[in-house]
Amino acid sequence: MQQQRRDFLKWSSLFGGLALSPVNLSANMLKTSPIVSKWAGCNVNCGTKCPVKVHTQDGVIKYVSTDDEGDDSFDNRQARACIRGRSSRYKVYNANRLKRPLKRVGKRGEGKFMPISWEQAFDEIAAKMKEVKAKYGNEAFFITYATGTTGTIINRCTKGPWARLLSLYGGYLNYHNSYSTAQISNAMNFFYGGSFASDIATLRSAKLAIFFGANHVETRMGGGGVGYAYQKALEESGCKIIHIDPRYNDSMIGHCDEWIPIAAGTDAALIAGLIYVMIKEDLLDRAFIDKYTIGFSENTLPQDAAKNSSYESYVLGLSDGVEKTPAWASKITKIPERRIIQLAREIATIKPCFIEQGWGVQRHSNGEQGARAIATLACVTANIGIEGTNTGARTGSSKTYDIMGMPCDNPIKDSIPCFLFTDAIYRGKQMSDISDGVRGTTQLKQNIKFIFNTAGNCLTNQHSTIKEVHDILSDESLCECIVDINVTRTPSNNYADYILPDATMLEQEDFIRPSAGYYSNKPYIIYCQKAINPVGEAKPIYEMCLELAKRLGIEKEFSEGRTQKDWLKYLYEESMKKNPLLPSFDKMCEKGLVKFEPVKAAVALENFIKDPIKYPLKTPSKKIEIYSIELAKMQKTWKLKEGQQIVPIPVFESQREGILDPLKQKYPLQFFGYHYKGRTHSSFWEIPQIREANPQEIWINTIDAEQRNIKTGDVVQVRNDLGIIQGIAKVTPKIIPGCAVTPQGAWAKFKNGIDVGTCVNSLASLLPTAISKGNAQHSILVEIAKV
Amino acid sequence: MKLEENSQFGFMLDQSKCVGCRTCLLSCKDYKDMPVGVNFRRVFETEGGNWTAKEDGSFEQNVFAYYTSISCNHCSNPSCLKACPTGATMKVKWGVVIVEESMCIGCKACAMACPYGAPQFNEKTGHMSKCNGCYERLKEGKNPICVDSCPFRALKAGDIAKLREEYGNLASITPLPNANITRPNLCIVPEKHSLPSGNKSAIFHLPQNIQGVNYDIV
Repeated sequence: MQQQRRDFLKWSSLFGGLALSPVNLSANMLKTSPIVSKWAGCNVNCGTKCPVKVHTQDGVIKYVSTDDEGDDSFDNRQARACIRGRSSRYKVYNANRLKRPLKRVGKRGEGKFMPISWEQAFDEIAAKMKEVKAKYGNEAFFITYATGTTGTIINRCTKGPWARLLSLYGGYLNYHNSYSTAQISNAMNFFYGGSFASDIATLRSAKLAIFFGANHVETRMGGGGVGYAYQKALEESGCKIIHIDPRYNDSMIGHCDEWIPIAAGTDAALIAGLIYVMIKEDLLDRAFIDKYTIGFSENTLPQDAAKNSSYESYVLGLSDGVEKTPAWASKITKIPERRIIQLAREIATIKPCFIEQGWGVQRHSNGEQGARAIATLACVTANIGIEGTNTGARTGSSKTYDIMGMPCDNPIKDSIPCFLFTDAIYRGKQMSDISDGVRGTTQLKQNIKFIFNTAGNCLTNQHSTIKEVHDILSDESLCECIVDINVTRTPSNNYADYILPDATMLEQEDFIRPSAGYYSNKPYIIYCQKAINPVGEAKPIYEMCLELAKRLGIEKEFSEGRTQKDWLKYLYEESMKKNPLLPSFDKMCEKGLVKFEPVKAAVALENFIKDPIKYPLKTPSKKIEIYSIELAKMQKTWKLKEGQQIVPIPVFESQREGILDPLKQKYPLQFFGYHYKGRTHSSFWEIPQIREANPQEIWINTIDAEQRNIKTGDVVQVRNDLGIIQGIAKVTPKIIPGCAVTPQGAWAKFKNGIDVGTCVNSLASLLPTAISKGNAQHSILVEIAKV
Repeated sequence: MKLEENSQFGFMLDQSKCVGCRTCLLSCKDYKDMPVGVNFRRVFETEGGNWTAKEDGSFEQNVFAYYTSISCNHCSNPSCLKACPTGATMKVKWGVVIVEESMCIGCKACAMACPYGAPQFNEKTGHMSKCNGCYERLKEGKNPICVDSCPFRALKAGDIAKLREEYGNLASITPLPNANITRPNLCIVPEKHSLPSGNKSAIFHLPQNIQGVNYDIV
């Protein structure tokens, strides 16, 4: 500890305490010791986990580089970190870096804290844990959904040490879903019986590619990820590429042939219009559809389904009297009727056609329907299961080289949709399976009373209606204790009772592997070799949990006598038993970055299409369910919020704050947040060097801006009934008229009730979606005005 | 990358691959230890096209966009060098243009003269600073840090004669000035929408010029 403090003082004096511009650093240091290079990785949640090479001198990071190994041919490519990974030094030496344990003073949410010792922090937290367990039982503990450190084996936010500690202490309330994929993952379960997607590399065989709200080069632009593979595949295939998106996104630069702008949240209407043309012009392979799917036409509906409840009947207007003609779709989507007709003919007649959606489509109040509709398009045009095709879902990976996580077995099975954690704080005991999507039980036993939030900004910033969340979290009689563990001060840890400073991935040994294998077809694993000692008094969370385990009397059970390094060795060697390609642990530690041979690009549902009897799907009908049998049941039994519905087929729904909502009279612009190159969700926003290169902007179309007398650079306010955000306007033709956007993940900062940090979630509703109870954070109606 | 003794150093930018991620900008800033406000690499956004609202409520458009990542082009006829009153701006081996800080009086004449915005004033040191092509790395046979950082392989560096042989001579692309002015050692593979220098039908900007950076963010 003494050594660490000295190191901290050394850099803090060099950097004037603020680490803003260490200009003299190199000159001073060059005369002394040599530069030492160690491997680490970028472990925030873009999906990729790029290698980062850390160059230090006398224990201080001098600069950061990335994978420079191999000849960089595509099959032997370097996994090059993007701007986010390259900014790791600025993350470590940041003005907002947490250096000591802090305890709240004043009212919760005021953001006032005093430094305390680790001993005091552990003693008091452990005492409070015992009190809550005795008073409310273990169901009152909760680890919030978070993604600030993912893809790591030990120092990860919601699995690993915290989950193990609480499991051994008697358990905790689980969550399901994610803020990224709640709707699409549930939608695909009902549709395909699981989330299946092809590797992006199969694009090389496609003749036509249709992307719905997909932006690989920005969301996962790190060279180890999908972005580079996407660009390379498009280059090689020479296929025609069409992007359908409200926004001209960066993935359209270079190889894209056409942008079809679409009003936000109307994808299901476009699909209905497209399929209408295909039906009328007899462009569909009926034998294929009948063999692999149910519910497209009346003859494949389940027996108990109502008459005219098939998708075809919906499209032809037999169920509601409205024919879903291209003219009908045009009015909703704002795409010219003629283009819809042409597009239908193109998609139906060119094979293989690669159809993919990003996750933006589903983050709407009708998101499950949009996600299923796009999958329907892939299925009815027979573009699944063969080279060059995808399921309509977001592309996946070919192979995951996984290292086992820390074992933990939570004795409690009760689980909430992660987006409903604020509900579970104030009305947990009222929450049930059919009203709130609770799983593992029919009714929750307890309200949340104790929260652990590790590397998370979902307490407020990435949640919704931040003002309302403020009221829930700042009420100390509801949730009685909030422990926030992070490397940096955030808007969320303003609500903590205790803040514990975590060590970064550059400051400890750990494994990093792509969190969901998003590296396309070239797998790799990183072993972080620990480049520097933790800044200040920061500690890896394994050490924090070990100290708490001691105080809770479960030290032996928790550690099994292992240090963090021992655990890494143990978990790695267990993983080696399943994967003979892994080198020895010692070799892994020494090499740091281990890259494997590329694998064949996976094509989703290949086996099912070859032989649907031998390889059936896990849906009730064992087929693709355009009409979902499970959803038909839920339609009859679930209790929904006013205005919500569950429909077994993917119809276009006019829902809350969508294009057809009467609220549009008052708030005429659709507004949503997009994933930004400068950060991953809210990670990296603390870094001025990143914000300089990629500032927060509020995009507004030229036509809408003219009507409001707004020019690029103007300070504007975006408002609705839930809040006001303020920021700088960018007037651009790159967004469809009627829509405006701002990158999501900026940090909320309230001045006189106005969020001058420009956090889009200040305007987003806390109402969950009908089916998955997910966050519909892209369905926002607003008005924008110059300040 | 190995440079021959008398070759001229230069950059290649493939705009069809550059998606504006700005990894080049930040990796350079980190490696060269430069503060906020000093950017040896800058990434311009260019966008254009028009929208037409149709009677039925739908829209037609011809929108386009592309990015231009630019550092110092180590010009054959550098205007910065001519403008420097003290001789601090000079050409060294491989035609690399550098600023010798010990000779620089911080008058900013080079910055005013350069049509690419390459010379950058460093408030902390009181001197001009700029891209030196990672001269120290070139001497070791390595690429400049920005080139090795590009996740999309849009940048290359090396003997400009060889680069031009492979990628062509084009360098007069909006928002850059006509290459005749300073004869930049740069060649550009254009994006399909890229416009020639001086074309007024597109708008372009450096995002950092529109917004300041605040440090107090919690």
